[in-house]
Amino acid sequence: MNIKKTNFKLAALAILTAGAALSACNDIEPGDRYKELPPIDAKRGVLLEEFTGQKCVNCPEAHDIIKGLKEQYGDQLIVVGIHSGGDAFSIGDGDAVWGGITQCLRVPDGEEYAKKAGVVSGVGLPIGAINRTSGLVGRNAWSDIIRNEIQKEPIVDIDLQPELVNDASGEPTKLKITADLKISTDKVSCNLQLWILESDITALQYGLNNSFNFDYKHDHVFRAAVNGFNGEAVSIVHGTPTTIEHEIDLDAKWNPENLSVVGFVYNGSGVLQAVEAKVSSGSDEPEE
Amino acid sequence: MNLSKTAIAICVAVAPLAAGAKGVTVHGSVQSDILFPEKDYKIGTEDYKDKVLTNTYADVGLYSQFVDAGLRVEYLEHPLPGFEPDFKGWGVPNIYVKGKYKGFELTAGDFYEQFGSGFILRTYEERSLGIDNSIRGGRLKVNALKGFRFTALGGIQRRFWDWSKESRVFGADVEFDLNDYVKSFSNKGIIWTFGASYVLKNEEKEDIIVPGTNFKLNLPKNVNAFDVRTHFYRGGLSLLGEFAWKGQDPSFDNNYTYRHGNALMLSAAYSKTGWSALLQVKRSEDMSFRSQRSMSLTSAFLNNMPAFAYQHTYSLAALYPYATQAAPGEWAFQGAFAYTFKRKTALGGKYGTKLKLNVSYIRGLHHTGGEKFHNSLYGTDGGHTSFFKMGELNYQDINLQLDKKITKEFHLNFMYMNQRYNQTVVEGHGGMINSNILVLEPKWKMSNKLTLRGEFQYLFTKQDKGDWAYGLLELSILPYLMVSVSDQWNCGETNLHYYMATVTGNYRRNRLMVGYGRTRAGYNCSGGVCRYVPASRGFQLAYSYNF
Repeated sequence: MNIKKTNFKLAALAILTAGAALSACNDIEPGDRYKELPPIDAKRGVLLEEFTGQKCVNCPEAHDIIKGLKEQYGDQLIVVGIHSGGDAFSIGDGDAVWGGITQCLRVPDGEEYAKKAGVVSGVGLPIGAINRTSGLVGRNAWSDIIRNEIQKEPIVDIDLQPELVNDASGEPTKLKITADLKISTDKVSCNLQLWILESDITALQYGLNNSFNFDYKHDHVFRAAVNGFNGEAVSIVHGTPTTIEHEIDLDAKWNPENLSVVGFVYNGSGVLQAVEAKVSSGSDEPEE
Repeated sequence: MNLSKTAIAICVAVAPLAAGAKGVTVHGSVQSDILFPEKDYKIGTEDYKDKVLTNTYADVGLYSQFVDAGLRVEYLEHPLPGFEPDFKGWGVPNIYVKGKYKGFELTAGDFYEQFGSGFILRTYEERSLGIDNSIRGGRLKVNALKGFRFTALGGIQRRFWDWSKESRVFGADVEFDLNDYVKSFSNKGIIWTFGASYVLKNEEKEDIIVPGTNFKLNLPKNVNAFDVRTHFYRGGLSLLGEFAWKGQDPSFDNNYTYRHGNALMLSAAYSKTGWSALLQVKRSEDMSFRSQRSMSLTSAFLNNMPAFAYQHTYSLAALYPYATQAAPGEWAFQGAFAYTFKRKTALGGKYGTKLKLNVSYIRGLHHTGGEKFHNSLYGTDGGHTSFFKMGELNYQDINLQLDKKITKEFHLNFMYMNQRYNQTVVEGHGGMINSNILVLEPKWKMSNKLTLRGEFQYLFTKQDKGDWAYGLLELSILPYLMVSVSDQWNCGETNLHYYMATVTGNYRRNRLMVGYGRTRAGYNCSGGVCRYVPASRGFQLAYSYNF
């Protein structure tokens, strides 16, 4: 064999052997895989719109991630589960071979919110949008984005008071919501959106490994928009608190004890502030 | 976009000159698929904003003795339904120049390459799936020495209209034909090849926080992957063994776990006049290898695990197609046997009969949970996976095909298939679907110019949407025309008819298909990679031209 040829072949084999050797040396030991981050100051409310579905097998994992994040950030992380698309059940679904599905968590407004956010066929669920500035992001990115967003200084302060209103027989039939808005800058024009959420709903959820859980507890499920699909336009001026009041009828499907109201203000710059308030039990209908 | 316009302008100016120059040939093609979509709530179509949707491609290449060059224009600004949102765009995403001299070949620009069976590197274009994961950079191929081939490459990978500079790919591959050095081998007609490849992915770190904690992951910047293989041929016998190994590659696909990936494949095939047999087995684990670790769906893959499920062309047989589970891993077995009953024998009949048996059997791996970190798999080794023990059944397909020419004018194809499809593993919902499929395909050559082909298929199942029936009649009017009508009917549950009528014309190098009908929502798969196609209805045009 020609010396040149041999050298060339040896060089090629050397590159490959080096590669093989490198492969083994590259490993990160279990003790070195985590870096603790400095503690942060959670300054504002962050809204996570989680697009989910009862037939979505990866969604329980997303719910576990959300549980962890809620434990970490508490009231300052506001999560809304919006059921939509092919992974959500509809009443009378052909897929509902289980018979007697009582809880289908999809609602028309939720479908529209999902479409508006860009959830179309070809986009896998679960997927989320954070403060309406992140675009649609997968669950691996939520922790990092929420951590960054929650440290930002808020310019709007929202105080939300939802209260059940009972009818003559003492049964809650309506929900009265009072929202007080204050700002720290001069003036802000935005939309205030009020949503009703319900937690602790027992309904079927598909999971990994062919699992079908009929006793699955669904939390923070979007039920209805109180003040219009896009909310209502508000103009908040410094020094002058703005108060918005609404009253809506309760849907018979909802359990008044598990309801909460989410209020957030948003404009072209995204969600400026978000809060969630648990619905407290009612007062009787005020006398005219 | 300026680069695209400049590239197109250069090409339009240079191509005619090049074509005229001595020793330069010009080849290219145009392909355009157009849909005029209509809303059809019964079958569940989307709402369409556009009146016309199209995926259009045009490419041209100049070839000469020492230099090749080419480019491709894509217009996907209003794409057909069912492609990922980032698929939208238009421009010149593929452009290259190749210099060739005495067995050395150097490419600059966009190129495709595969090492071995694709376990650690396979870049390719598959338009029906919206896949084009080409590498933009440089590649050197050396074929100057006898029985020795060497490839080295480096660059960044295409992901739709983005070439991420945060992630770089480098690779080297060597193949060696032992028979060129051992005389007794070549004398006995033996071809025995050894191959080895190496791929390095270098990606900038990113912040991945373990959910619910204050810890972020220490991600490896470099991921190494290695592949060795050997291929032996003699007479009708072909034996292949291949092993691949991938270093720590925490990614969205594997829940950011740090386990190593590996794949092993053994294949044996034998063919002789009158019959052939194939048997192959593959075990792969954690072999989803992307240039962007946090990507999902079908883009940014560096590798492609070969499909072990038979690729069906009959529409009901392809109703539940299997998608290779590269990230979780699988044990896959495939066997095929073909036999020709000779002419003028009892079973062969006057013209002979061909029989084919195919079996695919794919199971997941057996997994036992491991330690978690704060209730999360992120940063762990992801538990333990047995080597031989298998998990649940992912897919099973046993099909028998008969191909018989009955008379000079009449030909018959028959197929029976039994399929078990784990819809939960593949699509994320639905459970196990068991089905039996029967297909009858007669072909009648009515005259020198007219041939009538029919397809009659029936799928029996108790799951999902129940039974389906399919009928097709296709008339070929040589040399230019073909007319077909078909209907796919869900007689089991929805009672919906997915009808389609098309006329196809061929003239010289042009091909035009015009059709109208409904397309069912489902999965379009090719080589084990699938894309979800939503339901659609409307007027369709498909045009292609090759030169």
